[in-house]
Amino acid sequence: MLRLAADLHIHTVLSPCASRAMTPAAIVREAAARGVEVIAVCDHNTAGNVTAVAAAAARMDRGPFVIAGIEITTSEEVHVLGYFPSAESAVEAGRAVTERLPLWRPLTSRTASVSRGPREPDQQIVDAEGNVTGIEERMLAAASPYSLSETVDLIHSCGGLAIAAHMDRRSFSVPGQLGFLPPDVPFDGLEISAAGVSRGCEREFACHGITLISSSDSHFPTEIGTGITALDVESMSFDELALALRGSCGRGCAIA
Amino acid sequence: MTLSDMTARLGLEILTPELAIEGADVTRGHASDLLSDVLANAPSGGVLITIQVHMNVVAVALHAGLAAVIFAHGMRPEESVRRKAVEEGLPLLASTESTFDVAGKLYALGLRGKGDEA
Repeated sequence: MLRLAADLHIHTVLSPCASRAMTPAAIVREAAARGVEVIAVCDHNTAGNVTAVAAAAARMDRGPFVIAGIEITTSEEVHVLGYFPSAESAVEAGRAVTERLPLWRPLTSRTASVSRGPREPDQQIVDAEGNVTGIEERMLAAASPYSLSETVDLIHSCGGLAIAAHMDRRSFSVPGQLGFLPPDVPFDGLEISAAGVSRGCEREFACHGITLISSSDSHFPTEIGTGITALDVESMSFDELALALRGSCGRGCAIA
Repeated sequence: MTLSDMTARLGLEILTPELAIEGADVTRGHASDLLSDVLANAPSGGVLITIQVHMNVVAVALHAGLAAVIFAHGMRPEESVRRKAVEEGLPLLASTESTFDVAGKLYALGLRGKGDEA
């Protein structure tokens, strides 16, 4: 059995809130440098860069294993992570979400003079070398029209695993938006942020009987690996991740 | 004012006709779409104005001791939520007007938020 260090929530240049330094090459290089052996690429409401990151990792000597993911914003403005069995299934799920978002629109000239907002969407679709191959036109920061249950069903219908993101945060979390975790939503895991783990608050979430993980939610390269889940697996694959989250067949995972 | 006066004055739709709404005087209100905020801050006995239609709104409203929930801006919860509210005795009302306008009208009629003297 292997014990692998996993950071299962990392953004790329496609997410509007992420740094332009979050290119595929930078992500896999930082992950390797920090001993992160498994990463999940989770941009807001899209899987547009997962293939590029996987390709960048494949080119490295001992690059991280890349899980194709998405961080979906539900209609209630809750963030839910989806981890998918393949880049194809992630892209399929991503498309179902992205196409329901409003188009990105710039600030009006009146407000733009006051704030320093962008005039064009800062949502870069890139190749493995980091060359910009397109700009995402939909507003990735917006909420999708899928409710929490619909979002989890969508992820599951694409063969994926659904994780309630940063449960300990006040904004965009299940408790923050909805007051408490609804008992009938079949989450495969609950994520505690790195800051939450250092405050020791994962104990508060153990009562739900759902696997707890932690990740960095990196928007900048220096954040990669600041939140780690230790995976106990036979080898690394999506199926092994699923077993580890379920705690079956001797696989397991724990917040590191 | 009573819920039934409020319903008449604001032209609210009653989503839970099975429940009586004559009841006690409502003097307070809260406008929020974050249910954690409602749990923490909504004044007991008040009405909640919201566009959050998730099922949790029923449990949260009851936990906060609210008199009713008014869904604004044409938002309506699903039938499962409505049924749960009926079971729990929580009146649900609806307005086509925005949260801002509903809150403004209730304020003009004398309702106040958390901490304000009525």
